[in-house]
This record gives sequence, structure tokens and C-alpha cells, in this order.
Amino acid sequence: MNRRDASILDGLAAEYVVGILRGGACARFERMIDADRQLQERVHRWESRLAPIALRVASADPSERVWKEIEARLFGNGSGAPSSGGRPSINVWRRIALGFGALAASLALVLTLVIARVEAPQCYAVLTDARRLPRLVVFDRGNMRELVVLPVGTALVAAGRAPQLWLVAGENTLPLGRLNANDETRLSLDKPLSTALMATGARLIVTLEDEHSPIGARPTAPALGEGAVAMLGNPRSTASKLF
Amino acid sequence: MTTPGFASDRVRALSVQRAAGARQQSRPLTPDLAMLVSRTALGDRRAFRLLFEATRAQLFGICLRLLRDRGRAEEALQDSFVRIWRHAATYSGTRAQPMTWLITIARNRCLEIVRRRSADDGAWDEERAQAQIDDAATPEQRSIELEEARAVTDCLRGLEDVERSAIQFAFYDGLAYSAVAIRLGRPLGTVKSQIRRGLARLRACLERA
Repeated sequence: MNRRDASILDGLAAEYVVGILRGGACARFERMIDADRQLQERVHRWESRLAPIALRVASADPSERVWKEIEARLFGNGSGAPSSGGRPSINVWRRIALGFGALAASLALVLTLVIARVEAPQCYAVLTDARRLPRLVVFDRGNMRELVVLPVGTALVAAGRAPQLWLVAGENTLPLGRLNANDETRLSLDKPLSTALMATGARLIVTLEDEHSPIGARPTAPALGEGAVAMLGNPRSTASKLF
Repeated sequence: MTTPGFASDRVRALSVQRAAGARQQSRPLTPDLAMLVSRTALGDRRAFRLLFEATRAQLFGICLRLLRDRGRAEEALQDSFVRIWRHAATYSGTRAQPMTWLITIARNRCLEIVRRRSADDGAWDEERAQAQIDDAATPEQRSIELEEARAVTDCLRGLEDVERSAIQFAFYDGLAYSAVAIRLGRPLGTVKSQIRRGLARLRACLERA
């Protein structure tokens, strides 16, 4: 894509978010958004830029019936079972998340992000820092051939440094790849790495390495987060490995 | 032995402490919206209710301004919270402030309705619309978002008057190009160019900020 195309797309994204794009042009643009991740990012950036000025609009009180109707639509009359449309496994994840005590809220978000993104992960890890606050969540995409790494909480950033994920399996520390500090990263796994990841006692650590140096064989900086790899064959028992 | 003066100082000090305590208790609670969204993602209905209570007035105001009809705005608010419940798990705090995410959901729902019913032809009460732009004191809990709003507002002020008005008519009132052109009394092509130029200048300003 050349600069002119990028500029046109960015302009369309702005018009879409402002709300002025209409009719066939709007429908075509919405189809483009659905098919183009970079375009989705452009739209999100404009939403973030413009949403705050909506706060200048005066507040107004909706009637009491709004909440009643929301409840009726989602939960039915007095039904205890919310219709979130989620998969059966969500309740298992919820129970796991609620068992995390003080960290429940953060990890709940993390685990529900996992639910939203992948049908059946086989492993996951939550990397926590020295204060036991979650910093990264890592899970596979259901085939142990690709890992998804999501930053949570405060981003791991330092001038001239980039976060790097490592697998610690027994005596070996293996580089898994460099991470985006503020966004999702996908890392390919070859067969040896996949096998090492599934080994008993495998752990992941994250360090901040010199961003200009090639990825080394071993970390050169202290671990800022670490967490055990949990296999999801038996969620109840694997959850206890984490804490 | 306590002197009368000292005793009355202590009484005064206790009164001040009690008054301070009372002030603290009466201060509005600051909801942690990110926490409420994450609990909502877990299916926590109480957190969902608190999220609704904390944001309903602001989101309803936005919908009312865009849709200009209480009934439609209430329906849009309902739809928005149904989406919030169903999609809370997709919220990412690294990408957006929680209020930004909530506003985006509500605005998108309202804009879908606006696009469907070609609201541009509807009757318009200019005075009422201006009254709904609120520059008065704003709640403490939205300080981060308001800081961001300040940056956008400053950049909007830097645009030419006609560019700013055109963007505001579209953003706040859900007007299409043709309706903005009528409102400004300018040719459609000119208004399109002005809005596009204004948005490009707005982006450049925000990137510098």
C-alpha cells in the first residue's frame, strides 16, 4: 500500500467513526473493515481519538425501565442463568478465575480473553511480576504450533529494550521470540519447542533485551515476569500449578 | 490537668476530623470501570449493574443527542448494554480506556439507527442541541478521559470555524454530508472537502500533542 492509499483509507476510517459515511459507501467500507486487520486498527485509533469528546455531551437520565428490559433480554424473568452466548467451557474458566483470590479480576479478564480468542487451547501460562501482578498471558491456538501472547496491565517497556519470551525447561532456557510491548504477538512453535513446552515443570519468563541486538541463546537481563505452563487436559489441577 | 483552651482545641480538632470524614463519605464513589468490565466479562451481574449505573447517564446523553428521541435513545442504550454484556471479554485495557470502549459501543449502535432511518430529514431544534453540549463541571471519575477530551478539543479549536462546525454537526448530531451542507449553507462538494481537510488536520494535531 502506498502513502496515498494509506491516507485515503485513514480518511475513510475517520469519516466512518465520525458517523458521516453513509449508504453504499458505508456498507462497502464495513465489508473492507471486516476483511482487513490494519483497517480495523485505523478505525480503532480514530475511535480512541474521538470518543473522549463525546463526554462533552450533557448527561441525561434514562427511565427505570431500561435496566429492567436489559435484564429481561439477557437473563429472562428471574432466570439465574445469563445468556452470554458463551461456550460450555466458560463456566470452567470462570471457576478457575474466581479461585485466584486477590488477582481474580485481572486474571478473569485474561482468561475470558483466552475464551474469546481460541476454541480449545491446550496450554496457557500467566506471567506475573515480583508483586504477583499479571503482565502477560500466553496460550496456544489449539494445535501447539503457535503461541499467542497478550500483554496485560502495565506494558513492559524501557528505552532501547524490547520484551523477549523464553521457555525454561529443566536445565535449558530457549528463546521463543520477541514481543510487542503493547499488543498481541504470535510466535511459531517447532516440534522441539512444542515438546519442551509440554514437559513437566516448564516455565515461561519474560525479559527486556537490547532491541538492536539479535536474539541471543540466553537472557541477558533479569526476568520481569514468570509463570508455569499449565496444560488444559485437566483445568482444575493445572490451575493449581500456577498459584 | 487540661486547660480549657487545650480542651476546646481538641474539640475543634475532633470536629474538623469528623467533618473531614463526613466530606470523605459524601464524596461520590469512583468506580473502577476497567474492573467492572472485567467482572462483567466473567458473568458477574452485580458488576454489570454497577457498570450500567456508573455510565448510563453519559451514554444515554450521547444517544439522545444523536437520535433526538427519548424512546429510540432508550432502545439504543438497551442494545448497547446487551452488547457490552456479550462482548465484555473482548475489551482490552491496553487498547482503550474503558469509557472510550463503552462510548464507542453506544455511538456505533446509535449510528446504525441513524444510518437506517436517514435522520437528516428530521426536524431539528438548534437551541436544544446547543444546550446539550455541556462545558460545565464534569465528574471526577472521568479525569483521564477528560484529559484526552481536552487534547481533542484543543485541536478542534485549531481548525477553521467551518471545518470545526461541520465535524461537530456530524459527530454530535449524526448528520450526513448533505444535511451538514444545508446547515452550513454551502455546496455539498465544498463541505465534503472541508470535513476531510479538517479531519486530516485534526489527526496531525493529535499526533503532535
